[in-house]
Amino acid sequence: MTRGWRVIAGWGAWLCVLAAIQLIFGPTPIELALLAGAGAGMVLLGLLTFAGEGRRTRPRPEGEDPVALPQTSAASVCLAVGITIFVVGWELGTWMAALGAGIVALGAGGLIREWRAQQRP
Amino acid sequence: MSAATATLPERRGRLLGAVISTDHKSIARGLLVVALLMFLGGGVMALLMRSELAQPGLQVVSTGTYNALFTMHGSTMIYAVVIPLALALGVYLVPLQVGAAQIAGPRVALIGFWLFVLGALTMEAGWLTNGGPGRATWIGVAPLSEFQRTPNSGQDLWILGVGVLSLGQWLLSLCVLFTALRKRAPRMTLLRMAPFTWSMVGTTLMGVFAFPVLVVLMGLLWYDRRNCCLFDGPQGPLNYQHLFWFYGHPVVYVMFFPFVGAVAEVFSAFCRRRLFGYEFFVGATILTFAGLSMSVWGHHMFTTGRVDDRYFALTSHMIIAAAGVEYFDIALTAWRGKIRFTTAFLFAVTFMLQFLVGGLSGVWVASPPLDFQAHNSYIVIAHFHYTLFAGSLFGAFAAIYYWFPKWTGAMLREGLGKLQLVLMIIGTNITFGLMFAVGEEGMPRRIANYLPSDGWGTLNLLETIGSGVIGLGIVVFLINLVVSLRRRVPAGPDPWGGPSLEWATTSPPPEHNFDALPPIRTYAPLFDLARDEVKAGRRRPEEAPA
Repeated sequence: MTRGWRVIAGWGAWLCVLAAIQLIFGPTPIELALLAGAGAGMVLLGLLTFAGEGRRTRPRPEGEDPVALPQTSAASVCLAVGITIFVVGWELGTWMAALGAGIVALGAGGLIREWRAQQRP
Repeated sequence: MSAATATLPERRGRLLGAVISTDHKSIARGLLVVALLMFLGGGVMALLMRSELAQPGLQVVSTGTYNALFTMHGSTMIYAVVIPLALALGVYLVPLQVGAAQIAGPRVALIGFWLFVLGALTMEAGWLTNGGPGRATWIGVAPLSEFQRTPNSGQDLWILGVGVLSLGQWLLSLCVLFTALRKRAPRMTLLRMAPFTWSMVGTTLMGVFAFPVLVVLMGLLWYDRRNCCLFDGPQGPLNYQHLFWFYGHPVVYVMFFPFVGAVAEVFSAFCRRRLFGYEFFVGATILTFAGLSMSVWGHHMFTTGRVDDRYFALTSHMIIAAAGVEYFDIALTAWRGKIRFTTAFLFAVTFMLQFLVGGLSGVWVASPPLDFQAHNSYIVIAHFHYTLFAGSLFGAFAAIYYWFPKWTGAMLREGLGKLQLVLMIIGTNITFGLMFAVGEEGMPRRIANYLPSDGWGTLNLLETIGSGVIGLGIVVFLINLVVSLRRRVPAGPDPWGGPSLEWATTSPPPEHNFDALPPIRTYAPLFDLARDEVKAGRRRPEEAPA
């Protein structure tokens, strides 16, 4: 069941209306950029979601989810740990940032492997 | 085999399984546990601050420690307690309420959860450093957060931690949003989604752009501390505030909407009536309200004199209409209902009443001439504690008492729940109600010390006693948790006769959520089912929901 894109795009349009009202009051550039930018971004996200919905050609079988349930993902945890170590490394030293980057690479590789395994019949 | 009889390797295996599980229910349970632990930590910080303020003079902590305490209390409660609580409800319940077998992007949700946990730990790690944690307020305001004024590494850890945890919360928001919009079961149209799911749609729509702004802002602030000049000059601090509050005000509603949705569900279940004015609730309030909340951030900057007060006052006041419709919808759901006064329902009613105080004082501070008087005083503290504590957290407890049987398969004790409610109502209104009075007397926020001649001593002492009563209420809740989990009263799949799909499966639900879904014809499919059963003579007529 789709058509959710209308919610995102419609809500983005509502933000654009609020940004347009803001114009009456002579906003500063940052004020206008934030609200209008978020509105335009949401409209774009809505359209991208619509495009994604269009790609789903076969109807989903009733009562079933088409994707097999991934039960665990060590690679996801690895990626999150890597990102955090990488970021904290900015404070504690390059060695730590490098270690974090390595763990990120490991996690990303693991995610690709998990994804490929899931695609196999 | 029960947890008590499991062998050590089995227990280790289960723990590892929970750490890397992509099941949305496991992720949500993790969020709830972390939020609860952080809540206890943030509560201890609050009690320390209240102890310091009980009398004039410095007795308990130094001024520097007090600055760290109010910074970390606010940061902990907002970034690591209320937002994660709201997201946890969404992560657990939205897939169930739309009839999905899993959350959209389960791996992304797991990454989001761990980024949140590790970010929160990074933020709190400042307590372990020589200079102490961040102490530039929960908004990390520039220029106070610049290197010259807060050179401690704890401030850096605060910035990096807030950035990382917000990235995690953004990912979790996206997963919840796309679950509601793209993973719905057949025949679950948009206007058949449960009110709580709609409240999460509104919440996550705001989060899509709010969270990334904070992530980028924390990156800029860290760069500014290492190099220079991003937030210098007359415009620099204003730019910081614009960017922060563009995140910060929608987030106020991120911490409100899910609990309004939960309260709407609680009213519906315990009054045996469908939510009154469902379409208005969804359209006129959730979506309109969420949009407006993106356009009001400038009201935090009225006193800078550098924003157009008229626009931000206008949008801030437009919110009153949307909030009013929301209130009437929920209140009219109880009209002629068959009310059951359970702990969840009583927490929900208290949420409605106490949040009203926060909301009405919000009208006050959204009016520029009045805000100029109240700015930086304890009136502001009272206002946002009535919204976030007396409002959102009471809504969170309504949600916990309502959905705990679904999460665990066991009922929470009603007697202990009502005792907790009474203690918390007394404590909350003494503590935060008197803050309006002491603010009216002119006491500014963020001070550790005041003079006896200021005349604020008695009110502050009473507030401190009130905070102790709140603490007692929380202790009763913890006892209730332990007792209810150790001596389990089995809940069954639908102990309350709830209206939405999560009550159509076992408690707790299986990994794939549903073995079979009931027919979905309206936004209250289980009420439809109950009426069908009454018509077929399988239930008594008085059990039919309205």
